[in-house]
Amino acid sequence: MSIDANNASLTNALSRRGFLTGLGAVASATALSPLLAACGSSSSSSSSNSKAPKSLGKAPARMTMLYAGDQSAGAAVAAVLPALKDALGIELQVTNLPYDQLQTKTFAELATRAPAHDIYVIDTPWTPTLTHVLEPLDSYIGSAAMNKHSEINIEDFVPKGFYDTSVYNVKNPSLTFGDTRSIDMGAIAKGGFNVLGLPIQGNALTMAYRKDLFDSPTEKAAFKQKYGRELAVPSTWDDFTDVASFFTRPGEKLYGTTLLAGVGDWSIDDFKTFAGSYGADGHLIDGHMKIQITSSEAVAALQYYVDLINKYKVTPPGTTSASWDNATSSFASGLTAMTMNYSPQALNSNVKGEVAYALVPKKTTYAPHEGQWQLSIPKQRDENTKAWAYQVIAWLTSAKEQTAMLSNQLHATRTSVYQAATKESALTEKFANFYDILGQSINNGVGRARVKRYNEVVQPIAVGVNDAARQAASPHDAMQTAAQKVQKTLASLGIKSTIA
Amino acid sequence: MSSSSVSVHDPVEIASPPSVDIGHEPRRWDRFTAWLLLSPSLAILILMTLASAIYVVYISFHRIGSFGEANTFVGIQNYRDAFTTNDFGVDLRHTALFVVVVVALELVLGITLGILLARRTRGNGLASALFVIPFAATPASTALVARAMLDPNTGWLDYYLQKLHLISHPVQWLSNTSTAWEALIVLDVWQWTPFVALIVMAGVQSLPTDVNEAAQVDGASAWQALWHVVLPMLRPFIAIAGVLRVIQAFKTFDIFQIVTNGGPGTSTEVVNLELYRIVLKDYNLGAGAAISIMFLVVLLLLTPLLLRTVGKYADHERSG
Repeated sequence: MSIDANNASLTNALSRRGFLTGLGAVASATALSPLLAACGSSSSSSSSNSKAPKSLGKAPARMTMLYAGDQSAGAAVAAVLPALKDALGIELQVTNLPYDQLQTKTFAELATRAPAHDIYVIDTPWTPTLTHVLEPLDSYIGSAAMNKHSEINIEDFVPKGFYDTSVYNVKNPSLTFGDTRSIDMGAIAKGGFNVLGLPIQGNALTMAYRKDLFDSPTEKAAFKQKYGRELAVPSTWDDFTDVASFFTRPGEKLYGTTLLAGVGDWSIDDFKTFAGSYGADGHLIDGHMKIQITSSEAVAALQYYVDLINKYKVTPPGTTSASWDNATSSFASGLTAMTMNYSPQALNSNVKGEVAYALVPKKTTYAPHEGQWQLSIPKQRDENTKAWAYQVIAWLTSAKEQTAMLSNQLHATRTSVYQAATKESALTEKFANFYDILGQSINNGVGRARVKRYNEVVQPIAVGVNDAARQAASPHDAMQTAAQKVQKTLASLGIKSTIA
Repeated sequence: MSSSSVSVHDPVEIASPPSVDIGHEPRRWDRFTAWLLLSPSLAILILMTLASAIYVVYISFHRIGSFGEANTFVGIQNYRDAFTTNDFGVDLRHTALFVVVVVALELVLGITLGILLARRTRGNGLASALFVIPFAATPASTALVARAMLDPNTGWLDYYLQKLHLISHPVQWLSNTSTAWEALIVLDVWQWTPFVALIVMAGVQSLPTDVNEAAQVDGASAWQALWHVVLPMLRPFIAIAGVLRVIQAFKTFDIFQIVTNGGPGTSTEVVNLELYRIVLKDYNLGAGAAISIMFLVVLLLLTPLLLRTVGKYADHERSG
């Protein structure tokens, strides 16, 4: 029998039923692949005693940390690793991942009994889901033995950001700590809360503007002639409307501002900033699971947001599909006079101009969106590893190291670091007044809703903002629809909620 | 390899009654060999898909507490929520619409290009090599480039359309439903049409030339030869290309996430995007399992149809 004949015979043996089985398997893999990927390492983990050991054991030669890239200043952390080795004798191996992959990997690893890394960087929307698997650090912070290598000085963290990022009631993560004026470990413990990490990167929405345009005598004169007052960086939305309208000149390819009205986390951050500044609860869902997006203040804020796009037309084309990246590129290319974003903004080399920063304007109060990253330790580690992991995160988040990381764009989380940053001429030369404004913004900032499965829960709000911005629905109707969907999603997670 | 090859060279064997077995035993042996060779991969496949699938069915009836919380049995709530909370029905309709439109367009364009480029010339060789580029590029990177190109302020597309006076104002491609879908469909068609074309081209080049020549001798025009001779002989190749594309198209994710993220509103939200958000971002395994299973059922319902298509034309090829 020839080889061909053999093949033919084998082909006959691979019957249609066999092919069906194969195709069925392919179909199964197609439909189930994301789920199977997530299930691969799933297993529940139990809570464990969170007492810090009385003394430090032998330092491990190597530790591992799962970290983000640009979103949490990966380069800044990488730059201080040699100093970390000198200080603690530990080689910290850092795995940097882009945001989406980082979240997937973090969740997958923390769902196992033996997470692969010793330290994880955690973004605020993830924490309510993860409270049971993160080591409470209260006893470490309070232990002299655990703070020999670096001064923890916990009160130095920007209080609002610290409470928003790291202080949780483990059993009911939706609850927020009441008094956020200063950090009081005793009150935290008394209130039934725990510290689940140390903040490393503080992000808040800041407003960047073209200083060259605002300083231009020609522009100043023209503005005064039109509005009868001096051209100034707007601090209220009313001023903002005038200034943005003034700079909107489509014929010159110039618009007043960017907005982030595309479907995504960015539109939620925009909306919560506007809503908070109008006097609504900027968390959008409060600690008692009351959905606040339908309040009259929130709807009025959304109406103003929609008006900026459709009535005043101060935003460039494509705003209703824009994300952070679009806003950055629009401002960099000189298309807008102002933008609201999280990091220092740079102009393209062909745009002659200068950038400076201000607080995002307000209606009744400043309420820029704020969200920090914290360094946390998984519970499922042995005592000595956790103790040394704490040494590492305390060292990395110390005032001295945060100050060293500023030049690589770490967005600090400590008050003293911001104070030092404003006095450092090299930093103001490089980033203008960004750090000053960022510090103020974090102090005034409003965090995210504290809900488990954050992305799923708030997705209808992103859709609602986009629908309103595109005028596919009125702000009132868009928020009503979104609120009902949020409520349904919360109910599907076993969480009872009400609508404002 | 088999006893049959020995029997061919052995006159005694040829004349002997066991010749009856020549027809049956080798076939049984071949079948056994085929399954034997397949068994390791089948075992892995069963372990990877069937065992996991059973687990997925189990968790679809639970609210899974992956992070230190207990699992809770919730009955069919996850399935109900898929329709009431997660809009599975709408997402599935979007997904199916996308698959039907892109696969149809890719088949029509791919067959046309494949036939045109089948002649072995230097230009066609170069074109075939270039054809590999679109589907060799990762979908995520092409999606990122596409998104940049579609930017109404800085993108190339609006810039050149305005330069050519085809539009007077920038088109906000991703801000309205119809143009967002057009962008996604064009991107997918651009990426995958060459895949179909290459399969068809290989098919055309493997066809016997005598049949076509005979048709021409009989006076058939080029069009008639194409329609009545070439295309019928190409059916197995087209069927394979179509089936592969249907499977791939159902798996499309990157371009939806990067180019539109389901927007504007929820108009380009597809099942994979919803699953990604629920399972990989929020780790809501119970809800994700329910959606996955329903998606699987839909795909399995399609399987016999696809199989019949392939089987029919494969049989046609064998008999021919």
